[in-house]
Amino acid sequence: MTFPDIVKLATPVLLAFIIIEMIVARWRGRGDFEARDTAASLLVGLGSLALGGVFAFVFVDVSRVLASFRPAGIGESWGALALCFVIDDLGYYGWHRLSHRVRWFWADHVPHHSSQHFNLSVVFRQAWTSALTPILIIRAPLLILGFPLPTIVFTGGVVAVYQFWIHTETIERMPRWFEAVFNTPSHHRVHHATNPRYLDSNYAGVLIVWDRLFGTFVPEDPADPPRYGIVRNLGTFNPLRIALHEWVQIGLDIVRARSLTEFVCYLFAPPGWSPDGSRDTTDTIKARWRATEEARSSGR
Amino acid sequence: MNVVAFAVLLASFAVIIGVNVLVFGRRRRTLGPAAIEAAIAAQVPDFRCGPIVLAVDGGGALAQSSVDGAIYLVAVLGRGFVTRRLRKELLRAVRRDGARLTIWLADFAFPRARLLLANERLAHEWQERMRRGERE
Repeated sequence: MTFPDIVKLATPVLLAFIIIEMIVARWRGRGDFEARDTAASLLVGLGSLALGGVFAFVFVDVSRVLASFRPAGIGESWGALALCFVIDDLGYYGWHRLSHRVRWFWADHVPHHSSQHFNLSVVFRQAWTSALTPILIIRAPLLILGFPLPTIVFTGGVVAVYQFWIHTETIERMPRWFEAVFNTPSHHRVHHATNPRYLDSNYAGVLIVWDRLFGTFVPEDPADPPRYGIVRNLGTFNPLRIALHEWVQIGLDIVRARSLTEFVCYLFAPPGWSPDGSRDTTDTIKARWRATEEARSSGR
Repeated sequence: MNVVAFAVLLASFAVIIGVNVLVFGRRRRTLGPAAIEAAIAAQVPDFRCGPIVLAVDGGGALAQSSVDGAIYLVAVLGRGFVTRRLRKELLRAVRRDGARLTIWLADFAFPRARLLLANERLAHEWQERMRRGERE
C-alpha cells in the first residue's frame, strides 16, 4: 500500500476554506474573525512547521528505536489500517487529556487554545516545542505492535486533518447519529471554551465515543454559549509570546521553588497549581462555579 | 519546503489576512461597566463590583471587588479582552503621566497595560489603590 502525504495535500484546501468560512460567517452572522488574531494563528503555524522540520530527526530516530522492539510485523491490509486508525485515535485522546492535565504537556499545547476566537484559522496555532514532550508515547504502542510506519503516519495524518473542519462556529449541529459517534464542531466548541462547566472536556480527535466512554463528554448548552480562550487570556498577538509564554512561566516558577516537591509540581501538576493555592486550576474554578450555582439555586 | 512553496504559503497568508480585514473590518471592542463586571465574573463567579473606573476610550478598566477588595484590570485586546487580578506578586509597577496610567505586570503574556482615565485625580486615586494593594 502506498499512502499520500495527506497533511501536505490538505494544506492548500484548508487555507482556501478559511476564506470561505470568513465569508459564510459574515453572511450568516455566526462566527468571528479578527485580522491580528488570524495573522497570529498563521504565524504560529509557520513557526510550528519550521521547528517541526528542524526536530523531525527526534521523531524519526525514536520511531526506529521503538520499531526495533516489535515482535512481528503486522502486514498491510484494510483491516490493519482500520485497527491502526482506531488505536491511534484512542492514543490521541490519551495524549490530549494529558496535555490539559499535566503542565509540561500543557505548555506545548496551550498555544492552540490561546485565541479568543473559534474559527478555522485557529487550527494553525500549533505547538513549537513538541520535541520537548514525549508525544511519541501515543504512537509507541502502534510501533511496538508492528504496524508499518507509513500506515501509522497516514492514520496520524487522517486524525489531524479530520480536526480541521470542527474548528468553526458556522456549523451548528450535525445529524444526531453523527454527533453520537464523531467529534463535531459543537463538541469541539465545548473543548475550546473557558466556561467552568466546559473545562477539561471533549478531548477526542475523531471519535467522540472515547469521551463518552471515559466520562469526559460534555454537550454544548445553548443557554451557556462558549467563551473561547484560556483561563488567563493572553494580552498579546505576538507569535513568540503565544508559543512560549507557558514555558517562560514554568522557568520562572521552578527558579522560585523552595523544595523538590514544589519543583516537581510546578512541572507536572495540573496547570495553575501553586504551593499556596493562590492560583486557579480548572478543578478549583469548577468547584467555585458549582458552589455559586448551588447557592443561587437554593436562593441564598 | 522549497523557496517557491514557501513564497506561495506567505502569499496565501497575506491574502487571508487581507480578506479578513475586508470582510470583518478593524473594529475593536469597547467596554462598559456591565461588560467589565461580566468579564471578571466569568473568572470569579462570586465577584461583586465595587468602585470602578473606565479608560476614556473604552479600551480598559480597573474594578475593585466589594467582596474582598481585590483589584482587577480588564484590558481590551482586539475584540476580546484580558483580565488580571492585580496581586502584589503580579503588579511590577504603576506609573502615572497626567491622567494616563501605565501598569507593568510580571507576566510574559501580558507585560503592560495603558489606561487613559478621565482626569489626573482619578488616575492618582487608582494608582494609590494599586499601591496599597489588596485588603488582607
